[in-house]
Amino acid sequence: MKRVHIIEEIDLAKEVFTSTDVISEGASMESYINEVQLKCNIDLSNLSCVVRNFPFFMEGNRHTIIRQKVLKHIGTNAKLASWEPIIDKSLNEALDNIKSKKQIDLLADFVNPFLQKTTCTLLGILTKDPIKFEKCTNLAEELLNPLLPIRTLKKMDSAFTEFLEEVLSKEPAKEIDGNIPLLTALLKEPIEGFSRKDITALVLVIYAGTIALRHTLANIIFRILTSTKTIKQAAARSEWVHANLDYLIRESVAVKKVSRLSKEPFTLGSLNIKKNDKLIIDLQAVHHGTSGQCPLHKNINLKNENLKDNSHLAFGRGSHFCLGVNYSKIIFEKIIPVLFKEYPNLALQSDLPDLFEHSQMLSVKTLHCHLGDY
Amino acid sequence: MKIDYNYIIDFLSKKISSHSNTPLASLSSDVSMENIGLSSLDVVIISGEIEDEFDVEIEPSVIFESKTINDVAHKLLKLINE
Repeated sequence: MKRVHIIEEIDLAKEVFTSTDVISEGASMESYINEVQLKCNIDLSNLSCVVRNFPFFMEGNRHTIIRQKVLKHIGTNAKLASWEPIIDKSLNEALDNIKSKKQIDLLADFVNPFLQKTTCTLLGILTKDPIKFEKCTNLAEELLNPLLPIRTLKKMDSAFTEFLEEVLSKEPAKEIDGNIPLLTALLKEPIEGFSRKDITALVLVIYAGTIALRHTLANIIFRILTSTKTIKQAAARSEWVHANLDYLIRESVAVKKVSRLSKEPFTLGSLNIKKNDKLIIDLQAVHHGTSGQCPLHKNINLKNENLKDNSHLAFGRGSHFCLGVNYSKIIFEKIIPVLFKEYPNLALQSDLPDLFEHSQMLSVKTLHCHLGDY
Repeated sequence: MKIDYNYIIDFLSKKISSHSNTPLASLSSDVSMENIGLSSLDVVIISGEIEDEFDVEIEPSVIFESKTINDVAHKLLKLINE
């Protein structure tokens, strides 16, 4: 059996993320799935395609090429700025949808529909069954779990097959106000080593990645809602959210763990790592340590730049730094102040968190709220 | 069908022996799993074979975290009887 090391300190975790010379970033996942196919005599070819195009598992030139392409189309703030009117419109529609209600589940009725619609538009995903598509992408997120049972692998392959067939049979999404959705843009310019199916699988996985964003956002909103009135009032101001965003993310990150495999022996802090040892970065421990309560509770004037070390690993680090970091921050900076400005009396029906049970995520599942007067 | 504990031990030993290339004769049920040398892939495949044989759902992590074959068998018997 492999030796396992749990990393709980932020400096060691950063080293794991960036020591790509001695630590594998997971490129073996595709060969792993292929071996399962071979040994169990089952067809997992579409799962294998998804894994091959999962940026988290990619390495080398193939990874560099696709990373540059994705960043070019939807990764930079400059590019995303032209999408902002579309995001704003979608946010206003989502707000209109809850205006007449007194009580809602903030996630199911507001945050999730807004993010699903906005992200699908940006990525160019057209699907006849959004609910099924959501389930499919939730499965993609499970791929981060290194010990999935064969029944789950089969289920994933079946769901991905259906989605890939559906998308590949359709015309790509049209441009909107001069903005070309990611899938459409990538399919327009053939990329060496990437088939249409590869590109479609890549975009599916990118969508799945934004589910982590949703969970983190849910945790941030929960934190603010369970905080003081002063914090809630501060959250209605865009400049406060901007100034404190990285801190809010660090305190609310939903991803639990990130796994890596050592390629050769090396020393990490006081740990002697052997070849093929497994390194599990415990992101919850890395970010929260023993500090306990968020300092924002005590000092609302705390700013990113005033904190001793406000760095976090919510978006990873190194060559696999999250492709959606700018998109995530734009979404957070839009949705939080709008929500708390529009509904200054927004309140949870219960302070007890309704936790989402997932192997890879720690987040609240629902946010049942009274909207109050607006 | 009532599943016999010895049958489970026998089944697990054969599967573990086959995947780890360890002679069955040298594989006692109290040998440390850590010393057997199963890979993640082996563990996933064995858990699939267990599911097919006993019609239960078992997470590969159950095997991965077990100390001995006996330990796996106890956990499996509990799942079967649930």
